[in-house]
Formats: sequence, structure tokens, C-alpha cells
Amino acid sequence: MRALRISLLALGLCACQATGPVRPFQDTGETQALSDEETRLWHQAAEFDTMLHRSAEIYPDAAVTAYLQDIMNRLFPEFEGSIRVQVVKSPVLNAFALPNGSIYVHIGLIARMDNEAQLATVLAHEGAHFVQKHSLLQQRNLKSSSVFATSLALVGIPLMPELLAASSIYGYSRDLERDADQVGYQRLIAAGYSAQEAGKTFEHLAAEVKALGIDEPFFFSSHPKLSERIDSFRALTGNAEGGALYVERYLNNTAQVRIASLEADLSMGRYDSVILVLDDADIRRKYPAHVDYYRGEAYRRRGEEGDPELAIQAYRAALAAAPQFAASHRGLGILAMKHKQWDDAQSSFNAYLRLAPQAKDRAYVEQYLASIDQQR
Amino acid sequence: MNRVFIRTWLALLLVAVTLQGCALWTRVETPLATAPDGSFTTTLPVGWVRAEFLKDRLLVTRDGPALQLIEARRVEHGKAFPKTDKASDASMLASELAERTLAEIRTAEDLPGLEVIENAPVTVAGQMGFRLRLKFKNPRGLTYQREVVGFATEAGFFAFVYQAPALLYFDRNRSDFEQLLNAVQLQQKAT
Repeated sequence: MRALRISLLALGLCACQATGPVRPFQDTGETQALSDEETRLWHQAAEFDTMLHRSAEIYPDAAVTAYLQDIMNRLFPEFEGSIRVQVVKSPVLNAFALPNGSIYVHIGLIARMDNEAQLATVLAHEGAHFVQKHSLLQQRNLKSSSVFATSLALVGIPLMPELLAASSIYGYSRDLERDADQVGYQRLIAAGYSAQEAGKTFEHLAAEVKALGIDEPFFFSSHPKLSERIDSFRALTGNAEGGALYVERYLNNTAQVRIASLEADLSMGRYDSVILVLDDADIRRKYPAHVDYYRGEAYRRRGEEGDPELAIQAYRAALAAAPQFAASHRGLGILAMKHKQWDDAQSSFNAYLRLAPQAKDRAYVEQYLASIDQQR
Repeated sequence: MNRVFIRTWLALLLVAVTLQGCALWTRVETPLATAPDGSFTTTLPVGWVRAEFLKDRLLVTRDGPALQLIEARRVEHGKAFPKTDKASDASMLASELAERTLAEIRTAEDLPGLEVIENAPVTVAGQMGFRLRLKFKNPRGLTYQREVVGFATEAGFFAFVYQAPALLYFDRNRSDFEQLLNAVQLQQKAT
């Protein structure tokens, strides 16, 4: 009986420790006084930070990182220094927050925004997950051990189960997501951003997800959660007006990232993503003059019926806008060679090497020119 | 998870089974080897062990797949790039094959910090192909290098792979891979 009383007492104490009230962080100072439970989560998060940095998957552009950090600091000024934003090289539409205040945003997600207000919507949402201690709440609420057993290969690093549960990639509960939407929305408005853009962010990304038939892990985890998020923001924004968009500031600060995202999409065979974005003339206008080259590459590499002709049109458009952009000539040369149009191929390849004598793929092109000579 | 590491664990399991007398790994006693589908012949490094349980490719290692491996196989055009749902064909230029191979690797495998060190044309068995040299890290942060050589004929997409840790191991056995490549001869059905 005495042993049973001790066991019940111990169980009760454990239960109290695990289910004590969770109060959001009020400022940076409070992040220095963590419970044992939070300390364990933060240690695991720090290990993940180390692994991610060691993996060389962090996008090495200090300027764009500083730009995103600046937005986050405006959204959560009392947490400056505690919430740290990093950019991940992947073109996948994704962003996530770790329990220790590390926020990771993929270049794919950054590149898909129309303006800074939409980007701020994402950052505000992720920052809210940290401030509201959703990782801790989620861990306490999760009952199924199978959740902890699931392993997603995010950027090639198997996540530790607890962090997986804490990550936005897996998805928080509906209540926690709704909480992050509301808290994030308030931060967005307080920082002077446009309220209407908050809802557009999710509608914009939902349209792309639907068009591409994406089923990979991404920011919104699942369509039901996404559609609910859209409804949630519509209810929040109502008829609210005003607020800043900062379109030019976003375009200027993300110019390199948006090109990098296109290149990453091409390198991973995500041709449909590039075509979806760049087939829109309004979006193309926000890119450098040679942007049609990437559209040409996407069509050429995808190689479906009708794509070679579309690729040729795109390369020619790129050359009309940016005659000195050499790679467009190479694209035309490859297509001409495949169609046995030897004169055109030779002309294009020579133009390419004339404009880019130090091209990394010079050896390929010289081999093609030699092959053309043999064909004649 | 990197397929090489899956293969490593598989290899360890099979080594255990081998101890019970199953010939799943056999020592290469004579160099001449024929692809399982008969599409090409080549030479394998004598003294290495060959994975007999793999029926669609030649795979050999000297010290274990995690320390070095050489793989050689032919794939039907329609099955060349399954993860990106793309095919190869005999008319593809070498640089196009390299593009599709890279896209497949980036999509199919989680290779943190993947970097292309070299992407250049090469001739193997009289066929114009590509050579890719890649660098990446495993989940523990160990740097690997992988060399992929490929070309396409009417018979399919031929791919030859050499992989080893970058430090010490990659350079040590690279000449064995070059010898294999230099010895590749396509058989009648492969042209």
C-alpha cells in the first residue's frame, strides 16, 4: 500500500510537471529562463541547427538573410536576438520554426511572394509559433508514438522525432495553427503591413500547389489545413484596408534569390514550377531582362509535345531583351542540333562561345561543333 | 535516405548471412565480367567482392560499400529516370543526359550540400557521354565524392558509378574505375 501511494504521488508529480500552464514568451529576457522541458527541446533544436548548417544547405547570401531578419525584427521587436531567420537553398515551398527561435525559410517560398507584406505574413506566422511556445504545447498534446517514429528527410537530414513533431512541416494542430494565424496577423498589422495581403499569401500558394499537384511536405502540410487557413484569414481581414506592401523593396532584396530558385527548380527537374511562374508575363516583368532564358530551359528540358517550339520562342525572346546573355544561344544550338539543323546549330554554338569564352560547358559545345562538321 | 547507405546496411546484413555459407558476395578472381543482362562486358578489379544478389547491375567493393563502390548497369530508356518521371533516348546529347541524371539524383536522393565539381563530355566504348563528379555529405557530415559516367544507345541508358569518401578513399581506387570504363565493350544487342 505504501509503495502504491508513493507510485501514485510520483505519477501525480510527473503529470503536474508535464501539464503545467504554458505561458507565451513576453520578451527576449524570458527566453533565458526555461523550464527543464523547454531546455531539452532547445538543446535538440540547437543540434538540428548544427546539423543543418553542417549540411551546407543554408543559402549563403548575407544580404537576403539580413533582409528577412529585418522584417522579423519589425514584426517581433521585443524578441530581437531571440528569433533568428536563416534561408535554405531548397526551391520547395516551405518554412518552419524550431522551439529555440530558429526560423528557416526556403528560397522557393521567398521567390513565390508578390511583395514584402506577403513574406511578412509567413514570417509573422512562424514567429508566432515560437513566441506562443507551440512546440512545447504540441509535444505535450501528441499521444501517438507513431508520430515520433515518422522520419522526414528534410534537406537530407533525418529529424529527431521530437523536433519533427515541433516542426511546421509536419503541421501543428488546427488550434495551434489558428493561434499562430491570429497572433501573426496582429503582428503584421502592428508592423504596418497590408491586412489584405495576409489572405492573398495563402491563396497565391494554394493556387500553385493545386496547379502543380504538389504532394510533398510543404508549408501548409495538407490541403484541408490550407483551405482552413485561407478561410481563417478571410475572417480575420474582413474589409480591412490600408497597410504597406513594399513591392519594390521586396523585388530589389530578393532578385538573386528568385533567380536562384528558378535555377534550383531546373536542376531538380521541377520544370512545371518554372513554367507556371514564368508563363505569366506580369511575373516575368519582375525579373531581369534575360528571364525568358529560364522559361526556355524549362520547356527544352521538359521536352513534352510542343515544348521545343515554346523553348525556341522563349530563347529568342530572351535574346531580344538581353542580347549579351550567352546561354540563350546555347539553348537554341542544342535544339537546332537535335533537329539536324546544322547551320543554325553551328551559328548558335559559335555565338555562345564568342559571348562566353570561359563557359564551364565549353568542352560539350566544342564536341558538338566537331560533330556538326562530321555530319556535313 | 541515400541509397548508398541503405545498401550499406543491406550489405552488412548479407555479410551476416554469408557467414552461414550463402554466396551472396563472391570474390572477383578473374577480371572479365558480363553485365547481368548481357548488354556489355568489362573488367572488374581482382580481389574485390561482387554483389551476386543484385541482378540488374554489376556492383563491386573492396572494403565495403560505405568505403568504396563501383556500379555498372544498363537501364531501359523508359526507366532511366523514374523519380523525375523522365526517359532517356539514343538521340539525347551528352549534356542533356547529364542534366537529367543530375535532376534525378537531386530528386531521388538526399545528398546534403550536393555540389557539382565536374561536368564534362567523355567517350566510353566509342559512345559520346558525360562525366559528372559530385561532392556531398552524409547525415554525419562525412564528405563523399561520386563519379557518374553515362551514355545512351538504342539499347538503353548505360551508367557507371564510383563513390567513396572524399578523404583518402576516393583517389585511392579511382584508377580501378578508370580501368573498368576503358574496358567497357558493348555487346551486339546493346548497339
